Amino acid sequence: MSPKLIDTFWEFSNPTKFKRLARYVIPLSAGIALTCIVVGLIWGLFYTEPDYKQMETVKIIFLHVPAAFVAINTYLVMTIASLIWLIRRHYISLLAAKAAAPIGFMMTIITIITGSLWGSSTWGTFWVWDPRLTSFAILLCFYLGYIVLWSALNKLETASNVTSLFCILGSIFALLSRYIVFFIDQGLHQGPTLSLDEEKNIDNSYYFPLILSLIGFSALSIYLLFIRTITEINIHRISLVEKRGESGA
Amino acid sequence: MVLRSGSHLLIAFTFFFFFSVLFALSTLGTETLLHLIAPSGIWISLLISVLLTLNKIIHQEFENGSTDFYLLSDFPLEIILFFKTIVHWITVAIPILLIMPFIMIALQIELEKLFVLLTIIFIGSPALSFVGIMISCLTLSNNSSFLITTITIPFYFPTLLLGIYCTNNTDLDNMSLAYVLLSLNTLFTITISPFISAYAVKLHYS
Repeated sequence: MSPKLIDTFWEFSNPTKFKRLARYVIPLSAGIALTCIVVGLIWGLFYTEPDYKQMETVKIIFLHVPAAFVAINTYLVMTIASLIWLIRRHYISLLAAKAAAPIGFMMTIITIITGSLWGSSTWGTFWVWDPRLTSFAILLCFYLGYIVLWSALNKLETASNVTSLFCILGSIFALLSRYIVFFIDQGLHQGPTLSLDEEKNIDNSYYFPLILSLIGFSALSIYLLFIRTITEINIHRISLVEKRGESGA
Repeated sequence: MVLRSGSHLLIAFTFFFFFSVLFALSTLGTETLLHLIAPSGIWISLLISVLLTLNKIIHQEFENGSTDFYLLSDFPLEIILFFKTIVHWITVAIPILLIMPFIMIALQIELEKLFVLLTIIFIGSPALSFVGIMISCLTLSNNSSFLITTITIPFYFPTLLLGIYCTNNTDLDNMSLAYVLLSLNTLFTITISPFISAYAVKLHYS
């Protein structure tokens, strides 16, 4: 990456420039999300053959895998945003991390609900303490902790450093627990659905709608992230104006 | 100084004892069930007694102004916090290690396992103290011990999982990797904890 490109990236730490960027990103990501999710889901749900063993239940994959993908990557986004806040003190990145948490939380919930619906018909149980399921429960705990911390500390000045440190430490400890859970037992969840290795991949008839809905979910999360960040910026500005009014009076 | 203030030491100790008894009682005397949950019982009682004493260490000193003097002195804050955590571990974990034989009799664990169990808890428990101090340094601005307890628990997952796994499978032969992982986990927390706590305290004052 050339230094010039990095400089343009840092320019978005200016709220006005960020809002200008958002004016392009929001409709674009909304469009991509809508088309990809609608096409991907309709293709996936109605125009693919049911699996010979799992029948129609296999089609829940088109919701489950993208939601899981977004849930994990949202935490990554939060960690990076918190790091940027701690190092460079751009408060937009802090607000973006705050805005991202509920999105990731909801995606984790969606993953768990779709997974347990699928599990109830295939494994015969809604929930087992399998490594993959356990690591999602752990991820859910860290999302909850982050949101609780924000709501408990309330003010931006006190909460900012604490929540970002919590987020960064949380990512380290969540990864640690994930590997330990995998060390303890292998479990019955199947391996990763998508991989760069051709032979391990799922069949092409499932692959393309899955990729479409994956792109759709990512675009959806970007759309939500931008909308929520803009809202947080506006809330922050209003509180600043109110404070100035109080001190002036 | 911790010894002089004294009281929380006894509370943690008593709490551990009560909690273990509670675990034993909750099985209503069913011995097979007790065998299954005894290791988890010991670890969870340990965790709760560590959690209870956490806010005494950092928050009390923050309120009576000792932390200001630590920052003003030339001595690195990291080292002060490191020794504070060691003291916390000694005052909470060592008494519990000492009464472990009696707890083991109460929880129907064979006494031959005493040495193994003591070793596992000796290796694993520093991680509990170090992680706890780290998180309680983060929440200096908020004094509710309820909040600290809530947000600390997710950080205990690695230690607790490994600890219970080791304690449950003491008879297995190929456990050396699990012990190594447990000690690595402890060493990792010891390494990062003083630095991150000092960073958090300094951030709070800046």
